Amino acid sequence: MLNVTKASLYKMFHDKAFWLCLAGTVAWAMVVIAAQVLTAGSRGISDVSQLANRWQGFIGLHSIEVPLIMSAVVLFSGEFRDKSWKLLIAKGISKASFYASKLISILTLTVIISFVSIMTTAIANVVVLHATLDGTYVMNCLTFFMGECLAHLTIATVVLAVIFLVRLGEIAAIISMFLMVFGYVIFHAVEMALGFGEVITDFWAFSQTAFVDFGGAIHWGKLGIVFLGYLTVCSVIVIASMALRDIE
Amino acid sequence: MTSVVKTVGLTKKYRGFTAVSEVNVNIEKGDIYALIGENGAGKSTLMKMLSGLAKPTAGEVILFDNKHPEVARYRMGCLIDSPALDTRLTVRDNLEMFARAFGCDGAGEVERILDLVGMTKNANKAIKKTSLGMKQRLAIGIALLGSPDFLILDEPMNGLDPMGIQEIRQLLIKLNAEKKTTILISSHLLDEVAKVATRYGFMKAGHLICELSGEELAERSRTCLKLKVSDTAKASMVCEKELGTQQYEVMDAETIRIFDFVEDSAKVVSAMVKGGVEVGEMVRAGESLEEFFNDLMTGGEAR
Repeated sequence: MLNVTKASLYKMFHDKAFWLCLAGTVAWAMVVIAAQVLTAGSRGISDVSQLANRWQGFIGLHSIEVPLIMSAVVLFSGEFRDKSWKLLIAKGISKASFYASKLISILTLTVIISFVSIMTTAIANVVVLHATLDGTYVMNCLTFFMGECLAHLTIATVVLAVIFLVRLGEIAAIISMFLMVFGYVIFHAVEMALGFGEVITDFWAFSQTAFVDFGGAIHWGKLGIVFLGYLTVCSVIVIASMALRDIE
Repeated sequence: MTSVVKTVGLTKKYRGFTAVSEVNVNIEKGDIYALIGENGAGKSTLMKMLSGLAKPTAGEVILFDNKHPEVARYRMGCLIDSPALDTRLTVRDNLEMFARAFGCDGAGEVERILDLVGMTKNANKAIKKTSLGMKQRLAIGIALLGSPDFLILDEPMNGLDPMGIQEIRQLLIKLNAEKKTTILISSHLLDEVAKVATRYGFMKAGHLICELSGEELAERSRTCLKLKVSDTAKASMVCEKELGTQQYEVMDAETIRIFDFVEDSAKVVSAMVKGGVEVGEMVRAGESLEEFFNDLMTGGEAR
């Protein structure tokens, strides 16, 4: 498995799509900040420095999810399209090892994209919005990064499962985007109809970012348990679906 | 001889359609085994089952004397279907990636393969910008990573120009001669296959209908006189006593092949008549692989 993971990471870092997605992540973060600044007046905010404390708003605009979904689909569905994964199977590499290597790669990708997105926003926050750069700010940034990272790792396991189950990049992207945009609404409607309160949406993968506050509380235990839960369930589903395929 | 691949009753069915039916094949170390058959004969399906890309419906695959082929597949290299390459990477990056995955990314392995398949000059070219022939060379290169003991090559000559075909042919012969690499190859270019293969397996409608060694095929390729006679025992006597040759072969109850006197058929007929043998038909024969294949596919019996 170590060799396949090495190969998967090599492929990721040598693919132009990876670097384009990182550039896109930076650009997207900048666009979000610019939009916040430009619309500040219309929202009754006279001093843009007031925006410096609105991290949640910046990152909440899918600054990490969108680049994560796009790059994951481009990087990890290609092997199904090119059938290059079959060469690994023909070399005796198990399907579970192949999946595990992709899982490690997408988790690495998530950490990198989260880091780039949050650091870009953190720097812009200081440079454009004049946030105070001190020890507290740096610690808040790091804690926020780790919390967001954990929340997005959960999302990454879902996106990878969609890619493995669907295999077609375009369809996997559409389904993932749909889950990101409408998943909460649908699950919320279901839990309301069933009178469950927020039992479902509380554990919905794409809702986990709500449990991370910049400079505030981060629900580490819940984030960790939800991540492990999704990791286990998604892995079982993917490995079971691969076992059913007409490949040894 | 050491068995590299042995199949026992290997069968593959797809929703009622039998693609491969109870195939028993034994490929030994050092063989270059050519799998020959029409489109849909089951060659690719058989190769896929050997390489783990299709689950057998019945039967078993014994690879390197191991009844669990999945643990011995690291000793194999494969080229099945179209070249499976990452189209967003360069030629070198594809090799580097697969070398890592196969655990053979040691010093110089990628350079060695690039040199072996003649891709050194195009190493930094993006796959998107390479021709089908180059992709095919690279796919063969990937199959050769780590110097496998057994190669499965499905239509490896596809898309190659005449020079490329010649180079790949020489490469296969060299690998077989120097490293005793066992090769299972399928191709529709029968003349090319005939230049490398040491054994042949002919498939028709999912069945392995005939196996021949290179020597047996060469024997069949010898020019001869093929006679339909009333009595092959008498005809044999005529060959030995009247014609003074032992270069003949009784094919069945009424057919005999004589490898001498090919340019003097009148003498043969005259001797047969004199010996009381009725000659119903006489043709000058000598089968190439292509003729043998055509004969088999058009209903000729496996001999």
